[in-house]
Formats: sequence, structure tokens, C-alpha cells
Amino acid sequence: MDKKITMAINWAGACGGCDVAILDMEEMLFDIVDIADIVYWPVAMDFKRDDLIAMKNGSIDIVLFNGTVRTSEQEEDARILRDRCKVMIAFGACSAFGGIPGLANVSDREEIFRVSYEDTPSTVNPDGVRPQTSCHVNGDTITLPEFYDTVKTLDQVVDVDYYVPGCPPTSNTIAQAVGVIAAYAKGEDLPPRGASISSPKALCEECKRAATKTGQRIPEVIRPHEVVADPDRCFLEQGILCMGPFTAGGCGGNCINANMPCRGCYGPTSKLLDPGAEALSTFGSIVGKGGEDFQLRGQMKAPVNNIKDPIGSFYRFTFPSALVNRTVKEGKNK
Amino acid sequence: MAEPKIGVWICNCKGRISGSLDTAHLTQEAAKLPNVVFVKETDILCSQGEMENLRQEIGESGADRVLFAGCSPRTSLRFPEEFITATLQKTGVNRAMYEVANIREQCAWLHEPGPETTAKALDEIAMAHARLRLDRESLPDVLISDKALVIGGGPAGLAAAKDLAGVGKEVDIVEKGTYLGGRLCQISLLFQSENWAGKCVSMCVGPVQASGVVMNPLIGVHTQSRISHIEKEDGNFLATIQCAPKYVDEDKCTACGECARVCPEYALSSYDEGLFSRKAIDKDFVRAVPDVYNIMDSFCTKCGECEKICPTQAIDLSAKLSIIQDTYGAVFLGTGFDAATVHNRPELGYASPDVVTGMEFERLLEHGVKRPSDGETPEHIVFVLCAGSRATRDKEGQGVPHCSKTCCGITMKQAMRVAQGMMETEVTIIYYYDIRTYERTFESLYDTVQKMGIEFVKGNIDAITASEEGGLAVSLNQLDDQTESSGGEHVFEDGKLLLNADMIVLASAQLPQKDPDNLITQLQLRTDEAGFPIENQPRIFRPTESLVDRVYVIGAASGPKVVQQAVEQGHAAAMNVLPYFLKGKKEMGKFASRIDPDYCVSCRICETVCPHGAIKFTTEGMVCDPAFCQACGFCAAACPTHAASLVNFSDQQILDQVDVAFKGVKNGDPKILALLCYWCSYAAADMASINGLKALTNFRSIRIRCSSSVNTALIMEMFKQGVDGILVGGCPPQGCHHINGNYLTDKRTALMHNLMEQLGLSTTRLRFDYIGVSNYQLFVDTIADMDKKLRDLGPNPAGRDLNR
Ligand code: SF4
Ligand code: SF4
Ligand code: SF4
Ligand code: SF4
Repeated sequence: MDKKITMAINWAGACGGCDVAILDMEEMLFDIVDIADIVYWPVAMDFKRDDLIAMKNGSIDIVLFNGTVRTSEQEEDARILRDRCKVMIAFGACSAFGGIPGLANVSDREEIFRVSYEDTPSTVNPDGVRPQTSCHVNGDTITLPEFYDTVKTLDQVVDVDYYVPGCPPTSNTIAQAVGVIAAYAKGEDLPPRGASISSPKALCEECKRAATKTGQRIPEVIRPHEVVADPDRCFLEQGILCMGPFTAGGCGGNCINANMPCRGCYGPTSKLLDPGAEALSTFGSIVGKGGEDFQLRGQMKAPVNNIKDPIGSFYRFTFPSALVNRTVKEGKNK
Repeated sequence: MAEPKIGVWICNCKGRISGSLDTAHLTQEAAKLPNVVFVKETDILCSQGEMENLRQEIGESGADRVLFAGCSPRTSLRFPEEFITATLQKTGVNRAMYEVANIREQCAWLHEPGPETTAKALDEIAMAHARLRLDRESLPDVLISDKALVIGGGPAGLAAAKDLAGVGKEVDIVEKGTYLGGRLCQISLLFQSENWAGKCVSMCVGPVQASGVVMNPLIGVHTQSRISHIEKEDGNFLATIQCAPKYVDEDKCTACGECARVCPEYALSSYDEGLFSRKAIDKDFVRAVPDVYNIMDSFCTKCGECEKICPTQAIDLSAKLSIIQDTYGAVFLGTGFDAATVHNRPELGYASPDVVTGMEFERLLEHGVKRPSDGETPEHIVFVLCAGSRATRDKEGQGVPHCSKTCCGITMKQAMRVAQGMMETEVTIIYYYDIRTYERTFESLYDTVQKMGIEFVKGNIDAITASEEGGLAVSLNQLDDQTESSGGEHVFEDGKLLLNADMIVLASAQLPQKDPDNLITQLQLRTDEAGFPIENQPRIFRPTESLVDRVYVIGAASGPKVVQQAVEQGHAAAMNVLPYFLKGKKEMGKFASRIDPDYCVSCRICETVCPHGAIKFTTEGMVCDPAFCQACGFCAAACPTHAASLVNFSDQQILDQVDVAFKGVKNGDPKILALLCYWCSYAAADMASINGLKALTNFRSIRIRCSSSVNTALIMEMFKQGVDGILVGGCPPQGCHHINGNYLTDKRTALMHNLMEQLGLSTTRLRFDYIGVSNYQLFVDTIADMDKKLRDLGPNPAGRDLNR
């Protein structure tokens, strides 16, 4: 067999689920180990950052990078890995689009520190101490990474070759990613740069419930916790907002099968400009019973006003990669 | 694709444009734009001489697309888009391959002369250029069948059929009943004309109208038939007609009636409103056309008596139903009206046999008015107007809100006939607020009836019940300060009045006919609340045509009508379709929706929103039929995958325009983008300067297909590009050309505001307004108001680099 390729796996701003997902692959893990030597995987194997720094540029074939970039250390890791590797893979929704941690972009460092280090009832911090990037203790300087204002996706920091979406990626998706890695190892053709290991079509295409669509309007929006959803009918048909039409397929519809609407962890399909604003456009077009000529303006708008928390609903996994990817402040003098 | 070759003609309007801005500078700068092969400044572009030159210059320069900078393509009275397309046709440039930079109405005339106005004109040229570069040729013509399908053989449908056959076109008429003529045949005494108080008898005109149709070899008449399936296909309508078995051979039947004499089974037909019976084999009335005996299947036991007796062996009881399938270029929906509101209004007492509808009373007048319950001559007949109509105010929900328009007049006629022919019978007419006998015929009848001394009572029906004396009792509530009947014999006491009657005639509302074959759904028509199909907007341009191209709704199917009006509509609709039938094709416009199967997931959302029924779901995927598409862009704005998009109004074309729109706006001035709907709001912006108003120079407008044609994500992208404020203008309420584009945008804007609030982006930056053509002052004021507020706010924070 050819010379084995080398691979690194890195954990940045994420819950750790992606690493678990890799470990969850069971026998398939051996397929990876067959073709690749893992040269860096701090969470599972005994590597230190210095080992990484010591490697030569371009010496790692493939990096699986999971998690968002939230601190200066994570950004540095990303840059080092980028330099050391040939193929950079954003692994998991966080690193690809921002993921759940990306929702922190509704806030900023100041607010997060204030709440965490002062406001919470269980915090006792009379001196108002907050994390500093450096501080002097007994004549020594201790440093901490900088905590950014804004959560970033991996591709906002370094170039990314492939995306493996999912929160976490399903084993099927990981298997496909392994396929790409194997192809790389054998020197075979690779997908175009920037490709995502997901379906080019939206989830509805592979959803079992799609056949129940009728082409009717959604008279009113029902929030998932308000009803027990019919397990066979399309969620949208039931008035339950589903991100399936906006979200790349490939996940196998695990949520749908568990009778929960899609929340979008496989990220937007390729033609979309912005998953949330697109969803507003679609839902704003089909929500409400129609016959607006005969309604008062307030009455007519009521069904859409019923859609609470657009950011949380429509950008659940994608906020940092949205067109407007964090909250902003109005005001001339800012 | 070959590189575009753009020719630019800049009109100075003989000083009317160049007086306010530097057209020479525009000419110089336009030459620098990519792909421009020819630039010229002209004096009066719309003049015949310049048009001649244009033709020659296009030929010589090799331009394959044309940019005009000058007057508004929407409101110019000399160089509007209709004129431009006609002109291009002669030059060999495809009719879609042009764009206009409106540097007159929305620039030179709207702003003070000076460099800022020139800068805006230059931006407008760059925007038109951005659109033009990506324009594509219009789709090829679509072949249209020149055969028509008329659904409903009433007076409206017959009129349309006769006209089309008159110019040599084939027509199929599908009638569910046994004869042609519809309700006309049930009403013995017809109003001859709105403007002539003469009468006409249906016994005479019915057969004349119907025979003309039956005798015409181009018209296929299918009675006792229904449309079992109809769908749009390649610009046409594919229909399946299911015809009742031909038990009686038309060629052999002499209408002698032997069969009906021996038939042991009685049947109820709609002709007599179920009040009188016929035989299972019979003619509904002696003058019915076609002049053939027919069998009502649901009453016939196939005993064979008729088959045996028929002297000409015309009857074959083993006949089977037949199916016809054909392709039609137009559909005339003339399915008539229904009078059902009285059924679910218990207080109107319709459950009693002696309470009848106006249509039923027509039949009683014909057969001799007797009380249905006991066959006695009624001594007191009470007519109740507005029975189920005008259910507004205190009556909301108890019927239909509209006035059925014909019933006051019909009631006067019926009351008159009773008063003239039944000397012993007393007549009372109960009316609700007022009597609406419009125009000459109705009003003269009203006048006659009043002079005859017929009693009128103003009141609101509380209940119609069986009275203690065995007849009927009408209890009325007083409506206003009128307490006495016209003759003074009935007086309200404490707001109540009790009248006795032995027969009651309800002027029941005219409603759309029931639709057992779901034609409305199959044809993808939109209806109003009462269920009448909605007509194309604005109504005055394509009267009788529904929102679906070449589906004409005629007669009472489109709303209450008297016979003559129904006939008029049939003729009008036939005329509307003629251009298609004579050319045999439909020329496709510049814009049309297209669905990309590589991205479409058949979510059917486009089908849901399409107001013109242009999109259908098939097992092979969604299909948009461009011959039905009116390019409103709803599908593109609603499609969750961007599989649906508009040709020549693509997302890229919109964003490319935004990219170059604000080069001439000074730093620090708010950049305001007005997305103005094609017909109303864009015209309002033109009308501002036409009416002498001035506006600030820092807004740019994009003429969008409908206020609802722009996806919210594009708006977000525009903010990201650095636009400070966006105004979306749509037609005024009830004025949208696509029914509800304005409302959809209003809703989407509300939703977008919720998101903007969460994002910390001021909602002042996005505004939706209903801006009709005459609301030009509102337009100018809105721009000024936005400018002021945006100055206070400062630059758009989302337009900067957001990665802190
Ligand atoms: S909207 Fe959701 S439930 Fe409906 S078909 Fe699409 S993915 Fe399935
Ligand atoms: S026409 Fe007369 S009876 Fe009929 S709804 Fe109108 S007002 Fe009432
Ligand atoms: S809305 Fe878009 S994805 Fe859905 S069926 Fe229509 S074209 Fe296809
Ligand atoms: S552009 Fe409008 S009319 Fe055409 S298919 Fe789309 S929604 Fe229908």
C-alpha cells in the first residue's frame, strides 16, 4: 500500500460533540487509521501545541477542524494548522457556519463578561475581576488568549477546502468525508474546492414527508412545543416551521424521523444568500390564510408576527456566516 | 455566450433634459462602460427621423442590445415601453434586449439642475447598463389552440360560442343540464334591456339563441356533461369531457313524446327548481334545445318501456358514457349562479314549503301560483328583499356581503305579475333599508308597482315561522324611524311588527354556482370571499378575464347579472380572445419565471403563491408554464432554494444595480434605495416631477416587477452592501396587479422588522408603503422623511465589516 497520509484533528470553540462523533464511528475509525497517521489530536491523544508548531509547513495532509473561532488562541491554532496542512476541512456546523455557539453573536464580550463575572447570582466577585489577556502576578506575567467580541467561522480566519456540516456530522456524512480523504490518499480526483459534504438539494428532496405537501398556505404558525406533531405529514403543512427547504440535505433527516422539524444544522443550500432572510421571505409569503383584501392591516400581519425570535429560529446554526452576522449598534458616534 | 454589444442613445429632449444635467458628460462616460460599442446623444429620440437613424445606427454598430437614457418607460406619453418594443421589432433587436435609464422624470425634472443631478443620471445609466448586460432574449412564441371550451351553456356561454364560431373557430360547449339556455329558459318574462322598459319572453328568445348554436357545425354541444379533468399544458388547456350516455339518437328522435308517455318513473329536474316533476325520459320543456328527449340517469330504472314504444327505434338503453379529450386555447367559465344562502338561515323559514326563492317563484308564475303545501291560491304573498344579500353591519356572517343587484328589479316584476293576474291576492314587499331598482327598466317597474298600491314595509326579518292560524308569520324588527308601511296599514309597535302571509318569496342572493368538479382549483383561479373568481387587475384592461390568462369568467359566474349583461359579457370575452385565436400564438414578454430542476425540491411553495396559476406540480417536478406566467416574481421571492427565478429580473441583475447605484451620492448623505413596483409606485415617482414636485437627489430607484418580487434576502444583501435605507413601494390596497403582492410585502416587512430589531438595526431603514400612481406627494414626502431620519441615525452599521 501507498505511504500513509497524515491527519490532524483540532477542537476549537465547540461542545466536543464533533470529536465524540468521530469516536462514535466505531469500525470506520480503523478505515481512517488504515490510510492515515493521526499526527495531532489533542483531545484524544497525547499531543501538545509545541509538537504542532514544530512540524514543517505543508507536512500534514488533512486537518479536521471543529468548532468556531472565538478566542485569539483558536485563531492562532487555525493559522498554524493551515500553514502545516494541505487540505483544511471545516468539520461540523460550528466551524462551517458558526453553530450553536455562534448565537453568542447576539451579544458581545462586554456583556458576556459582565453577566458571567458579575451579574449572575452565584458569582462572588467583589473586586470585579475579569479575564485579562495578561496580568502580573509576583513579578511574572501570565497571559490568557483574547476573548473576541464576535464568534467567527473557520473560513473567516483561514482558507477552507471542504466543509463537513452537521451538529454533529452524521456517521454517514463522516463516512463520505473519509471517502474524500481516501481519494486524496490515493491521489484520485477530489470534489471542487469549497465543496460541502452534503446534498446539493435541500432536505425536502430526501424527506419522507415531502409527499404530503399540498401547495396550501399555512394559516397560522404553530410552535413545536404547542402540539404533538403528526408523525407523517410535512411539518410546514401542519404550520410548524421547518428549515428543511432551506437546508442542505444529506443528514438523513434524523430530526424529522424523531418528529422534530429541521433546524438547519447542515447549513444553507448553495444558492442562498442568507438562510434567515430567505426563510423570512418564504414564510412571509405563505403564512396567513390569504384573502388579505378583507382583513384589517393588523389582523393581516398577525400570523407573521407570531413568528418569534427570527434569529434563534432561522439562524440557529448559521448566525456567524449570515449576511449580518452579529448584532450591531446604531448611532453616529459609535 | 458571446460578449454583449451595447448601443447607447442618450436623449437630451431638446433641452428638457439637458437643461438640468450635462448630457455631454453622460455621453462621454457612457462610452467607458464595458461592452459599449456605440454612444450617441440625440435631440428628440422619439421623433420619426431619430427612429430612422436608430435603425441604421443599430445596423451599422452591430449592437445587439440597446440602452436608452431619456424619459420614463412607464409614463412617457411618447416613448413608453410598448413603443420601444414595437420599434425594436423593426430593427432586428430582440424585444427584450433593451433597458431605459429614466433620466428625465426621475432625474432632470425631479431635481434642481447641477452636478448632483448629472451624477445621479450617470448612476442611472450604469444601473440600466448593469441590467442590460445580463438581459436575455425573450422566449419563443407559444402556439395557442384556436379552439375554445365553454363551460356552461347559459346565455353568456352561448353568446361567446356564437361569436367565435362566427369567425370560423371551433367551440365545445359543456352543459351539465339537459338543454341550452340555462336560467334564461326558467324566467318566462325577461327584461329586454337595461335602457328600455320592454319585456321579452324566453319562450321566444331562448330557442332562437340556442338553435343558432346547435345548428352551427363548428360548435360541439355536450349536454348532461361535465369536465372531469382540466389542466394547463404548454400554454393551452387540456380538458377531459365526460358526456352522458346517448340513450336517445338525435338523428332518429322526432320528439314525439311517446317514450315519456309510457315511462313509469318520475324525475325532478333543475328546470322547475324541483317543484314539478317530469318523466325519467322527457324534455324539460317543450321548446328545449336540443330538441331530443333525454334520460335522467338517476331516476331511470332501465325498465325498457320507452325503448319498446319508440316509433323510430331511437332509444338504446345500453348506451355508455363517452369521453372527449381535447386541447383548447381559451376557457369560458359561464357556470351561472346558485341561490343557496337561504338554506342555512333558519330564521328565513325556507324549511316551510310555502317559503320559496325568487327562482322558484318564477316557475310558480309559469305553472300558476298555488301554495306548494296545499295547492290553494294564496291570499297574501309577502316578498322579502335582501334574503341573504347585504349581510353587513348587524348581519355580518349571515349571508353574503354583496348586493345581488338583480333581485329588487325581479321582485318588482314578480309583484306586478301577481297584482295584475291574481286579483284576490294581496302583496307586500319587505325591504331592508332601501330599494335598489337602478337604471330605467327596474325603476319604471318600481314606479308602476308603487302606483298599483302594493304595500312596502321597511324592516329587518327577525323570523319567519308557522303562524297559529295555519299560515306563515313574519316578525320584523324596525330598522330606523320609519314605523309605518307605505299604505299605513301596518305599524311597528315597540320596534316590532308581525305580518301574516300564506306564501313568502325570498329574494335570495346570487352566489357562484356549486363547483362539484373543482374547476376553480383545477384552473388555479383565485376567488373573492363569496367564491366569485377574481378578475385581472386593473379590471378595465382585460374585462371578464380572470387572473389566469385566457380563462374568462362570464355571466353570473363572475357576479350577479341580469340576462342581458351576461350576454354582453359573453360577447366581450370572445372579442378578448380573438387576437390569440387569429394569430394562433402568444408572443412572450420580456420577463418569465423559470424553475431550475437542479435545485427545486418540489416544495410547492411557488405554486402556493403564484396568483396566475402558472405553476403546476407534477410527479416529474414543478413546471412553470411561461405562457401563463405574468412575471410577478412571487415565486422567486418565496422559493426557499432559489430554484425559481425571473428571466431578465434576476437576483444578479438587481444586486449589480445596487452595486453601481450610489457612486454619485456624497459620502455622509444617506443612500436611499426605492424599490418601486412596476405599475403603481414607479409611476408615482414619475408623476412627482410631472406635477412639478422636487425631491432629494440621494435616492435611486429600481423598477421591480411587483412589490413582492424581491426576496427579503436581497434586501439584507443590499444593507450589507451599504445601502442606508430601503423603501419598497407597492400598489394601494385592493390595487395589486397580482392580487396580494402588496400585502405579502407588508407582511414580510413586518417580519423583517422583527429580525432587524433583534439585530440592532433600526427599522427606520426599511419601509414599505402603499404608493399608488396618484400618491406622488406621499412618495416625495416619504423620501424626505427617510432622509431626515437616516441622517439622524447615521450610516448603516451593518454595511461595514462586521467581524470585530
Ligand atoms: S419542510 Fe421539513 S418536514 Fe416538510 S418535507 Fe421539507 S424537510 Fe420534510
Ligand atoms: S338588488 Fe335589492 S334585494 Fe337584491 S341584494 Fe340588492 S338591495 Fe337587496
Ligand atoms: S418554491 Fe422553489 S423549490 Fe419549491 S417547488 Fe417552487 S421552485 Fe421548487
Ligand atoms: S412570476 Fe408570478 S406569475 Fe410567474 S410563475 Fe412566478 S408567481 Fe407565477
